[in-house]
Amino acid sequence: MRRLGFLDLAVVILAVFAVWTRTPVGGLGQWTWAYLSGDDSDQPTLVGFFRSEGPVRSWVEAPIAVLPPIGPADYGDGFPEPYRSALRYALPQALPAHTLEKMGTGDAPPADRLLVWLDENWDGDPSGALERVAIGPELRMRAIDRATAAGEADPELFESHRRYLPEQAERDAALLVDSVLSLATVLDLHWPVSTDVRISSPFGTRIHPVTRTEKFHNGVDLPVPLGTPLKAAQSGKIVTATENAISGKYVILEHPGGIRTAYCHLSSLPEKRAGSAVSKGETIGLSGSTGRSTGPHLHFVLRVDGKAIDPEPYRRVPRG
Amino acid sequence: MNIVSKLDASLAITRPLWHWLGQVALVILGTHLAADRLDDDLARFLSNLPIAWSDPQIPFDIGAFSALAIEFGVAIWAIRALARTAEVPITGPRDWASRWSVHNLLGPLFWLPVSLAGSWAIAMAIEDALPHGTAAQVAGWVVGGVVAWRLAGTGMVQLVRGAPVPKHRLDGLLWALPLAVVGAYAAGYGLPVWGWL
Repeated sequence: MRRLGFLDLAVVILAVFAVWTRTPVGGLGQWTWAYLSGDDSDQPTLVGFFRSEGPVRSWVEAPIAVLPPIGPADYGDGFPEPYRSALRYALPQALPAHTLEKMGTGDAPPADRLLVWLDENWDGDPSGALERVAIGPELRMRAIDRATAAGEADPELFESHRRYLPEQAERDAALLVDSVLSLATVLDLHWPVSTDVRISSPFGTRIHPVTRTEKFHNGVDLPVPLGTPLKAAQSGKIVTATENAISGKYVILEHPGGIRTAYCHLSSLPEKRAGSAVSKGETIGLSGSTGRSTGPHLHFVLRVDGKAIDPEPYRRVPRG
Repeated sequence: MNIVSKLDASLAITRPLWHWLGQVALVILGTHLAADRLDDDLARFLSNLPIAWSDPQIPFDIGAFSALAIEFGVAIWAIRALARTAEVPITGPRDWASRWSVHNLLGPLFWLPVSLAGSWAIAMAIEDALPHGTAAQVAGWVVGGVVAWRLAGTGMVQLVRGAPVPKHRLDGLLWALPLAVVGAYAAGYGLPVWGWL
């Protein structure tokens, strides 16, 4: 009979240790152990063991006025706008201190040093470039190899291989990639109607014109004539194109970086169905006064990671 | 050398007391790999339903807690499945056929991909723990292979050879759906083979 007692004990210890440190079942064990031993330090949450693809981990609202001016020279030779501006704004919150230290101790601000590196190493993939900045090329390649072996579609995309990164590396990369991509998406919004149209009802708490009660207004109202073509604020896909009693006919679009935009009270919906791709500036419906509305207008909502934010700071003529 | 050999033999004798812990741990690891994907797919599916969620985080919470429940459920199933294995092993295919049940059929079909996915999870953890390079990669594959042999393989053999005599053929039907879903996810996303095929 084969013995292999030591070998079996070693692999059992290894497997149990992996469960203890990496899974919710082990997390429950850690909770129990901490309770029994009177340890009152923070224990991991059980759902925290799941690496979520969806939500953006951090978000910094970026009023255009506080961003550094973007001149033609700032477009750089590689890493393009709007990612450059997004990176400038997101730093240093979106980059862990230990990564910043690796960039060297030159006199130039971290964003400038990073942009020089990104220009020199630009390969056309913003999320890949940012990921390399956050965790280095080796870990990224290792995760891509693993995702390829597992048969993931588009393994080079950060979203496809992030779950194959070591936990801390995934957190570091997600912080920078998610922050910059979501910020860049918002910075590059196409206003859905002419930027000359005034905002009749701003974002925030207000007295509702129909119910006369104080209510949170989760978007902006843009009074436009009936039948005005409404433009997609960014490239993305249609999540919903339907109607209800309050929003009337409405369309929700999903864009890169955890951004969603909604267009409500439309007179007509797009011919495209949910799941269809739309490009930035494409007409996605005509304005109207359907649902709970006092007259023709567009109710425009901008959400980051599900949270409604004020779209007004991003009203501007789109980049060429 | 003789002492080491005797110690090894002594440990081997006590194997039934602790070996199942490693086998179950491996299944939990593989299930976690599958559940980590399942919760995202579930959240995405719920988010895209025409439902006005009061908080957009709700689909993600439902996805995460569903995956959590599945993971704990599978851990209990794995312990129970090993404990239920018959003391009198099957003698051949005909004997197994006479013990046919949903549990005896689905158990090994679930165990194989999930425990192999668990072995890969350990291989990746070993590789991540070592300095980047070929040595780390080789060490990961070697340890993953040994784990697959000594835990995934032995567990699989135990489930098949020790198929319990069922009270009725539909024994295990309640577990069929979660096991099939987790097993399919582990096979689809937890095995490092699809890129080579």
